[in-house]
Amino acid sequence: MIQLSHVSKSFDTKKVLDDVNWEVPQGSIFGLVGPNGAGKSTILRLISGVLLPDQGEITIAGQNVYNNPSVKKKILFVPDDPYFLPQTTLAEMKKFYEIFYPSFKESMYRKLLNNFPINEHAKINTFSKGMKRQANVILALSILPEVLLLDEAFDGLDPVMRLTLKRILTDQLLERKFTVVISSHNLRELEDICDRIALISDGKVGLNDEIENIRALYHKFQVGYSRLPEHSVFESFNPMHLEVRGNVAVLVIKGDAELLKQQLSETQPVLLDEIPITMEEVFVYEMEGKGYGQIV
Amino acid sequence: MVKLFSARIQTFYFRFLIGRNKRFIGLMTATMMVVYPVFVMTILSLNDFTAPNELFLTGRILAILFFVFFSILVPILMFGYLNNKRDLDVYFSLPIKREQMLQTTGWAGYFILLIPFALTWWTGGLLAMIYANLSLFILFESFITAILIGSAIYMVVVFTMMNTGTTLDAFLYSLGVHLIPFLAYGAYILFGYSMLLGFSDINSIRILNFISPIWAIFNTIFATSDLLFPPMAYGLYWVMISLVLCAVSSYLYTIRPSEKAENPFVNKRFFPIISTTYAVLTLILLYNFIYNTNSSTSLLTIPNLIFPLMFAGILYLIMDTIANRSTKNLGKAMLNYALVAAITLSVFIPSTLTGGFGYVTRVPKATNVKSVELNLTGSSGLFFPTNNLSYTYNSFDGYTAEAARILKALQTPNLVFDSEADIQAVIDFHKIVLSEYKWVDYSTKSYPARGYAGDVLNEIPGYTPSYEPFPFDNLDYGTTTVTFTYRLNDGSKFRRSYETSAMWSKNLTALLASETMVKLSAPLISNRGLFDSISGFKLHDALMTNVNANLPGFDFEDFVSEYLKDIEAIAADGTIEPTSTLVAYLELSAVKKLTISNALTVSDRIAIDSRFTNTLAWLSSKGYAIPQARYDEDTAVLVLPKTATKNAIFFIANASTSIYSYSENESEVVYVRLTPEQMVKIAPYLSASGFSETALPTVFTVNNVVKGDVSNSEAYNPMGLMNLLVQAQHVDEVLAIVADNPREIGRGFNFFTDTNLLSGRFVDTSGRAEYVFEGNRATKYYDGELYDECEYYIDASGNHIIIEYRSSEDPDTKPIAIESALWNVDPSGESFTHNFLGVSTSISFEFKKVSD
Repeated sequence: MIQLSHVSKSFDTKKVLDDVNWEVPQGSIFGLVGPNGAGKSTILRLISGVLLPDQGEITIAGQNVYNNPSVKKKILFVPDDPYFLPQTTLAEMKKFYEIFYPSFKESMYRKLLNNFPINEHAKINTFSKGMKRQANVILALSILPEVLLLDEAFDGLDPVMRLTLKRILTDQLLERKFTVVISSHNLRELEDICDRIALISDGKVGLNDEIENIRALYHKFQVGYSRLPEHSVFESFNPMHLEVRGNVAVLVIKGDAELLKQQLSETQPVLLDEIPITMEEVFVYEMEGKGYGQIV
Repeated sequence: MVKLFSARIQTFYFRFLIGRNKRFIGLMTATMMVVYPVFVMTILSLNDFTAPNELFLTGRILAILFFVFFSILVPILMFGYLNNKRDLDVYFSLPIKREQMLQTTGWAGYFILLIPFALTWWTGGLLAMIYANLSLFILFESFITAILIGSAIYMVVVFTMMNTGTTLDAFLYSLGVHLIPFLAYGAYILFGYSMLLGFSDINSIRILNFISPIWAIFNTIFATSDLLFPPMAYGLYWVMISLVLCAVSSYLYTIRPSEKAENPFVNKRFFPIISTTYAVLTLILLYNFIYNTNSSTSLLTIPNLIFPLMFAGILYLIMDTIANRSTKNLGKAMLNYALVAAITLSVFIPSTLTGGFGYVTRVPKATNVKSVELNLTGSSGLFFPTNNLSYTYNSFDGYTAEAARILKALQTPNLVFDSEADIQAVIDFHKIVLSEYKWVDYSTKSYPARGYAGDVLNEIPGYTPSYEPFPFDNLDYGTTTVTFTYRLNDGSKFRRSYETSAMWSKNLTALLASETMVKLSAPLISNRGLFDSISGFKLHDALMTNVNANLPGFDFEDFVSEYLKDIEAIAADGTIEPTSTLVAYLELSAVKKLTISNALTVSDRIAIDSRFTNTLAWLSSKGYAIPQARYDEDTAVLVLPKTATKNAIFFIANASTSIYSYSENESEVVYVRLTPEQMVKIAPYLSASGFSETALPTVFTVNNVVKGDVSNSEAYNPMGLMNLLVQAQHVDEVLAIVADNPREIGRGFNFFTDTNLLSGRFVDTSGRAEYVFEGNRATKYYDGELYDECEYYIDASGNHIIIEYRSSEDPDTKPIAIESALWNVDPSGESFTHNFLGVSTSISFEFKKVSD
């Protein structure tokens, strides 16, 4: 289990994480979402030991991560902008990783190499951004990490490769149990693969639950009236999002679906439907509630 | 530090790094090979495989130069990942302790650096051994020293990289950090010279060996003459510094905030320390420089202050702008600089106004002094017993640090005095020096004014000397640097150094009777422990006209034992008057093996006069006969003092070297030529050492060398001209002996002009300067062109040709330059300079005769 306890981190005067407490259960596939600059990458760098927290501690299976090789050899961090040694090839990078990760599995490397159109003896600096990311994923998964940290994992990949990567991740997860934390702006991508989601904003971890639970918590209702009730009626539901078009209102509300339905029906609508809500909408409405993205 | 040593190198990664840098190693090797072995071989092949020894020296210097350059470049390349956030995401997430990563990368980098250096050094070294006979030991010692000191050059860059966040800053500040010792040394020296009378920089350049690894690597390998310790000791010192820097770097690496990469600095304290250091040092250096350019200005004037303050300020602001990549911070930087300047001046100004907080006026009490050491450099206008040393060694690789140390011990020994009377005499002299300088108002005058105090004093209205004058007056030409080093009873020591006039030093004559000074005339006895063997014993008569080389079973230690007993008795007697009779000389040679193929050989003649009763008795008891003197015609004159003469030759006896004096008041002297029979009668009344308060007749004798043609084999003849005083109690008897001799008048001391003239052509060892001697005219050609023409003299010792360049034809005008050619030493060896009494400048050079 990855555990962040009272973790704070500032860059110069900007506080990026403020007293964050967060747990990632072992074996889970955690999606980390948040607006730009919210601290998603910072959390991944803290977990991987790249950064030292100003306060608090980060542990994996109870052991502090920073400058602790015995823990770090179980972790593989794939940054959003992958780094390779200058003028190197994938084969040479493989040697580099083999030095530090005894768990590196040659057969896995070969297997993964067959899934991607990459020449392991070609200079990596001739690769496109997507190919570099593929190369990085091949190396990362060949290490068989117990904790895989993917920063903006799907950026730069074409749709086919995104699907391939998801499939490979899924296959690996079926073969062995390991923890994955993926940060992304693309909630649609995370929805498909993650079982849990955490939302980072204002230096804190806000929303943090299993996707199913989130889906059960957030509801989107379309309500039609013959005569639209007072605005205060809708406000009494404390909606995350309210949209009124003529006599039809769309409300996004947190709570128990049945109870909400019952309460809405008491407003005597002529139409009451629950519309499926996507995780992206949840993210948008959550962030709207915090004033993010509003044009002043 | 504990973590540093517990962090082991990751060997697989170490090998990986070496493998990845194979091409870079190849490039560095090729570069260094080109500038050393290939360069040397090219020159050799163009010169039929004969080349000057300097060729290999140049090659080695170039090899070290590139080694230093790569020592700065390689760590910047090896640790380049630290300056890129993207790279750090990988490196800092790797499962390896950061200190282990630092160690592995650092050592790999140094190993990558050493491979080309070692290949180059030993390839070039092999050539030097074959073609220049360079010793393996020298090569090995230099190699080890270089790699040990090189580690510190390398680690300074690593340390800088731990504090900076971009490659440009890492490079600039690495150079900046390496430059600080030189700036600090410059500021220190200028401040001391400008502001502190008595400031001693004696050997202070050696400080750089301990504060700058770049200086140390060149100085310890190529300039062995002034080293305190063997080169490898400096190497070990710098390795210790490297380890400290490594420990600090390791700590900084462990806590390095990767988010600060790509910013100029990752350690917020680094830049303020560097920029403040530069501002303070520049301010002090420039202030003292400006102050020194005009000796008449007062300490605190606007012109003195304005330029240093502005220059240091602009430097500070430029550094701040570069550091911040912006001018937005200039206002704050100006305030910071104002604060730095104010603090600097608040310490600097009071320190100068108070003479270094009492530094200038401090003289210890004799009761607090355990011992005092005198060091005299430059022209020695002060009394200083001389010796007859000569030495030889292979001039290419023979001048090792050990040779330098031995020769220094022999030629410029430390004069240490520890008796209460001697200490008091030195302190009194120190006080005289301060009293004399007080007339110059040294608290407000800068160094140029103080440096020539002797000339300035006489122009000061109301000046009255604080010293007791000598009975002679022709010692006023030139100054001598005297350094006092006091060792106090509490274990501390302090040192002061002054330019002094010989005229001030009368009270120091009391020291002549001290054991320290008496021993100076026989340095091979005092330093016999430095040699492997001492042999070649010969006895000469007092005037070196005859020799007895048959001294079977001569036990040197026995001789020394008796000799030292006599020295002790002479010191206890305390007489400095010339009352003893020179009886004999013991000639001897000492050998010290320096390398497998080279040895240092030093020869000396030890004077034995009538005071050495134990020594003479020992010689007699062993049956070692002192040979009878054999005097030739025209080899001796008796010079008679005029009434009230103040010429030094009538007051100072010296058997070891001559007195060559520019007598301003007495250009002509009265003398008589002595026959061999008269010399036999007079010899028992002649004293070869001592100082007289009254003028005494003096005998000048000369050897045969200067009279005839000179060849190399003849050139090394220990016989020289002597200046022997007639003992006061025997003056009347001597005058009676020469009562009928015709009185002659001679100018200066060219008593033997007719016979001493040279003829022929001589060139110096460079082959560029040529001297043609005809009559008493010397013509100098340089590169075949007429350089100058003038009269020449052979000095009273017969060992020097003195060529004077005067600004006018007036014979009483002081010479503006003197060239003094030594010719009684091996032309292929090093020349050594005799001490000239009363002559400020002498330039020694070697030359050899060209066949006519």
